[in-house]
Amino acid sequence: MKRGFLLVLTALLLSCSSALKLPPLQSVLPGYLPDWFTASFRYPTQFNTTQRILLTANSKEYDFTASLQKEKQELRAVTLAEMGSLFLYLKINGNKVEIIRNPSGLPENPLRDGVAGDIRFLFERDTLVHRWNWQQNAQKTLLVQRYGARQIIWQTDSAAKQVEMATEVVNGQTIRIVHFKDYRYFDSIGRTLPARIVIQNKRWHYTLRVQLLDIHHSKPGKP
Amino acid sequence: MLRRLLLFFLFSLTLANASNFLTAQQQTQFLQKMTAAAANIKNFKAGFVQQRHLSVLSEPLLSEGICFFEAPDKLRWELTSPYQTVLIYNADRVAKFEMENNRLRKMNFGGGDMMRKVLKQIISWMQGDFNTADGIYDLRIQKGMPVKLELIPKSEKLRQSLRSIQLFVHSTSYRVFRVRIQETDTDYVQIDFKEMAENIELHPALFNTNHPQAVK
Repeated sequence: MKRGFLLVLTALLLSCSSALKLPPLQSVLPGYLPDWFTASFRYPTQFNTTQRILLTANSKEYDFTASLQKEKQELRAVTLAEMGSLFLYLKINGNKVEIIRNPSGLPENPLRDGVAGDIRFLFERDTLVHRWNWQQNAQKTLLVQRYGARQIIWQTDSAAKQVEMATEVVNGQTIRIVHFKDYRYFDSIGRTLPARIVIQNKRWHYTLRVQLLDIHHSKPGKP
Repeated sequence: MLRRLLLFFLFSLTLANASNFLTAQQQTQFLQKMTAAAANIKNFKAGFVQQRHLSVLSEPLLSEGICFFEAPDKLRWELTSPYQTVLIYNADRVAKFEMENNRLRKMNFGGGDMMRKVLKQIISWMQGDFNTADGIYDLRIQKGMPVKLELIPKSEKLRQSLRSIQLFVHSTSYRVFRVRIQETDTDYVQIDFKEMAENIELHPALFNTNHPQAVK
């Protein structure tokens, strides 16, 4: 009985994997990446966002409102806790991460490598400098981005033309898995973007659920 | 002559500044009146608008909500915009809920211990009791309409991140209608209360820390 069940299960799994079977990886030049793929991360060059962030760490949940501003190459991330109290303020410019305010005294490594890394992953996407490979069938397009020891596997829905998931691996170790959900058209910037993003940070063992509440072109201004 | 004029000017300034605040005796009297007025409030419900001003932000972050209070120790702080969450304090128990698929889901709230202290403090102040703040803050009361109660941290270390907590009190009803948490000259949180209704019928389930009543 048990053996029969296992046989049925194996047959089912085999049939599923053959349905999703993709042709071998092919090289693709960055300029020939599908437009809809690069559009999935096409945030304006300068923007302001308001987000709700739910952090889960050690099975506890922490709730924040966040604002992210991008001006020139600099990202400024402000996180507010209950009743508007300032929880964290980071400035990110390429590899340079500055912790401007950290009133609760969180350890720096998870902030610099974890949180700032997550923000850079989402908002600093340079598709031009990496080696790309892709596989495609009717349901899925798999894009593999390689840069040194770093590899990002992008799983996309070929029909909907949307990125569903990204897995970042460095030296064979999974760093983060990111799910992109609930694509919506944002009138304020005239673009379709994922309104919900779930980041599972495997290196620092936390999950961030990010809900994009508002995005608009930033007003010129403050330092 | 010039020196005398300057001295006179400085003296006038000091006098003007001093007269702007209540004397210790006036302060005690004012707090007594505030406590007496608060004693008449069995419960209340009020809408609020919260503005978060930060020098780094080009515009303030706004949120709105509704709060419910029932003496002596129940508070519900419900955010309705830009997203919906409910924070409940009920006799030293704290719980937080988020709206998920039109239902309130109890969160495994990580900041519970800290929030318990903060909410307990807020409830004391709501009832005009500033004794618990004695060790941490100096209190001064600025005359005018409205009257401004200012709590200034005694510790210099705390003052680096929190300049003062200001409560704006209506000069005749003694009700707090605005709270401002001033961190620096430019950074502050301001909460304005509106549409306040007192001594109304509030369902006990509003403050239930396991299955709270949802507000439509």
